[in-house]
Amino acid sequence: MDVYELVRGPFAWMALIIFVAGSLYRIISMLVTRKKEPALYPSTSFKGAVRSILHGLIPFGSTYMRRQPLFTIVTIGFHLSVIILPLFLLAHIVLWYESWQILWWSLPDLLADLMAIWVIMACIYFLGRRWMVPEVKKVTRPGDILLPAIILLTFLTGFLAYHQWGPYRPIMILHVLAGEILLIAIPFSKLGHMLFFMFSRAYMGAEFGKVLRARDW
Amino acid sequence: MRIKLSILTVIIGSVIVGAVGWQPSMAQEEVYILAHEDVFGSLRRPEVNFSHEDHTVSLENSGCGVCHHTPDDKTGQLVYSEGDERGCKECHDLQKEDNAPALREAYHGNCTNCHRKQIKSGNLKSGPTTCGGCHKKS
Repeated sequence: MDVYELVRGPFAWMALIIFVAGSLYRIISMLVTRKKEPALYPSTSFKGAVRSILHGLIPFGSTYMRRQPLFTIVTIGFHLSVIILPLFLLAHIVLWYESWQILWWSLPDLLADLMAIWVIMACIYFLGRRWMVPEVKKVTRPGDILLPAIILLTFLTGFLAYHQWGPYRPIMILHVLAGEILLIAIPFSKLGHMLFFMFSRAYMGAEFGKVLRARDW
Repeated sequence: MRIKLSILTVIIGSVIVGAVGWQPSMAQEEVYILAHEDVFGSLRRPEVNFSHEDHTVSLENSGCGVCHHTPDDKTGQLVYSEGDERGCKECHDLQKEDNAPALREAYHGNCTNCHRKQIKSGNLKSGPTTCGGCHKKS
């Protein structure tokens, strides 16, 4: 079997299915558990929930962002890029068209390059922070190093493959594999905040807004 | 003797010319550079060096119509008409038109999909399926 075709075909399907099914499972089981355990049932304050989500999404919309401006700028660029880049990269769009005949708008290559560099630098910054900032180091577990490292690997290999720097095929295969590992990891690791941040923000916002009458941002 | 030699030369010459005339592939370029900046504008990926020779050999059984196809006037089916071989961009343009896919998708649909099918059916020495396999940076 051709290794590239293996990772691009069956492995990609497997990763996609695990990502979708795993995400649904995690969200549904969370909603079911909420009903079973009244102690965890959140205070219902729609206004508080929405306010907390918005303050968490808007750049510098919360105290914890304003207190560390560098981290905020790095992380906002990182999060925007890590979502937008894979979805709107020309190379990915061409592959989706080949597989499913769907076609949409692609990012200019220069912008895509800058976004990839941003993600790579951000991952190095995050890893350095985990290493060097004492209060962050204290709460760091292996997964907190591993996940940014895999994200770094995914975007670095993608960047190298686009420029065709280094051995092209092995880099390409590594790129696809790393991306698939990330996709599988989303529902089952800290990357799950992609699925859960709305719920946890809403929960905290509702608790703080209604019960404590305070801001949680 | 001289007359005999020149007659022989003419005969041998005609045989060679005749034989060459029967080989349509001899009149074609061996490698085409696929860039089409007239359609795509400035290219976002490196141009492709396409070996026509390799493909006439490997597609000997499938026929030239795999690439050189035109819609039949009556049925609309894609058919091969010998002597009327056209380049892709004569029908496939920057955007999809009626039943003709856009030029980029037409190329990828024919090249990559065919290579992939070959690999799936066990021919691991088929052509590239990665982007950089064809779009090589020089």
